[in-house]
Amino acid sequence: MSGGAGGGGNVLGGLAATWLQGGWTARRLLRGRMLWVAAFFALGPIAFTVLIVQSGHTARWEELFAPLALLCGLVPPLFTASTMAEEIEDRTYTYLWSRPLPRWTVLIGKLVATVPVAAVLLSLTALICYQLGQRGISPDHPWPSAAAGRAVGAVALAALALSMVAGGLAVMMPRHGLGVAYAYLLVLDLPLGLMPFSIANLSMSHHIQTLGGVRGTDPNASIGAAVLWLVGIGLFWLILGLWRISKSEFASGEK
Amino acid sequence: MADVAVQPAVEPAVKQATQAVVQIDGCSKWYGHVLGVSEVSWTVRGGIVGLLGPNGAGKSTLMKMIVGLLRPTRGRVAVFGQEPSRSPDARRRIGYCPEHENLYDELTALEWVTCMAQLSGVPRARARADAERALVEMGLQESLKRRVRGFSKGMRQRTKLAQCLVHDPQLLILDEPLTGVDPIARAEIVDRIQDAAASGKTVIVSSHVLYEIEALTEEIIVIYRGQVLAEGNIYEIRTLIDKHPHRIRIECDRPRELGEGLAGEDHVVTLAFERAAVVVETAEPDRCYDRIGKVVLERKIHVRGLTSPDNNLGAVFDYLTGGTARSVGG
Repeated sequence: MSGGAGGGGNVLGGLAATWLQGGWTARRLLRGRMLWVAAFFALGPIAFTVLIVQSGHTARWEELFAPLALLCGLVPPLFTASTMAEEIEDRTYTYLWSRPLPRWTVLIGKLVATVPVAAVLLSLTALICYQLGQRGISPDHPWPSAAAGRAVGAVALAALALSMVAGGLAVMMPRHGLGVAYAYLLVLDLPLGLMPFSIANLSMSHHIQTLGGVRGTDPNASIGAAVLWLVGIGLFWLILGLWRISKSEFASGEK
Repeated sequence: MADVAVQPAVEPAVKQATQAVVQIDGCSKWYGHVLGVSEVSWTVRGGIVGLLGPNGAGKSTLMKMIVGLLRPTRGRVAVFGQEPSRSPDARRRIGYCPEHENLYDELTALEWVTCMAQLSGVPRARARADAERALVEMGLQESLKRRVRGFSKGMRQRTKLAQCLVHDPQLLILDEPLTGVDPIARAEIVDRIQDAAASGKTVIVSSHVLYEIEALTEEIIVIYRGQVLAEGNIYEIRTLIDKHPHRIRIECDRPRELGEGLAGEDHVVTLAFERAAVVVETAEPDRCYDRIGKVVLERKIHVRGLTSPDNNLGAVFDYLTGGTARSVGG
């Protein structure tokens, strides 16, 4: 049909296949409903900030950043877990894995698309909250130095790490990918962050708060350690997901 | 079941000389405790081969093993001499059209098929043009830039076939490609598949409907409950079926009078009457059809419909399994 090589052209490398899949996943994301749902979620922290400032209360950084950290637990799974779980549940992966590309590119391709979109949305929300919240700053409760930069850095890194977790979980349990990711991040991870120090290290929300300049449970937590823990937990789930993708056939019989 | 296997009388010499496109040796596939296929051995050397079996027979499992989506629990699958689940080079030469209809609904048909072409290794500069050509050949020229979300079942089938053909593969694996399409689209898809075979591609096409397969090919493999029941020429199997009592159902205004006209014939085994129809079981279908025509004309009986309940896959399975497959038919 192409009149070409007779059996397609060259076998694509992993990087090229990842990039290609990232491109159309981003296109689907931007055209789909998920972006609007995520934008709706993002209104939450903004509305909360406006309420605090309008009510004349002091805008404390801890209070303003808490809804942002919660938003981090909502948006990246919404994008990554839903697109990955949909790929498996709808069996559209059959079009991909019957082609000459490495299986891992499907999950990494999703991340290439979803992480930047999530990071941009979260960063914009953080910057809007920062800008609005400044009107309510009191000298009694100073904000951490470079609060805007830290907030953006924290939510961007959270977008990466939480997307890796959500992607890995969605591959492990595609039938309820988004639900499982939300259960993990909101039901398990948040309470873990309130535990004594060594256990709190297993909580991603704890490290996001540290990066954002909130030092609730551990005043001595370092930014470097938080980055390492955050990326490490993300990588753990991502590697599990990649392992499952390489082994699984996602088939339980004919339909 | 094994002793009813029908082998082709004479395998064309040209096929024997060529290398096997698909070679399956003693393959079994289990999903936990559920059997997918059992001890299947099969060689495809070219042309169009029909894979015939009821839903759940193991057709899709077999096809997924050929395209490398599933690995056999036991045995070996080779495509162009290589194991498809491990060899990107083998998969590069395969075009696969799965049985499900799901596509990426947010993309247009052209975007999606272009992406699939690129993933198969078609250079970026050529992928869009090739995708457009594939879609036009499938009759979707009016819908190239429409998102697939709004596509009908028939349009989705055509889009799936376009993505399957776009990278000019040498082996096409088409899982129920005619399901759900209207008669016009069906004829067009059959033509495209035959064109592909005429251009030297090997095509393996599955269906649970006998006449769909008959429209495409004479070479069939019959699969049932994960096992190959018969392999060979569709007419040989039909001939065998025809040697056994064959049912013909005639809907008419005076079924009893028609039955009366057929009752004395030596080839008629039984007659059964329904409210506005008569069902004849005959040992010689050709003579029976002739006789029906004569009686209808002589007695001026108004016939509303004439069907053969045996003219479907259920009859094949009933015959090949000795009647145990009655409940799974066509």
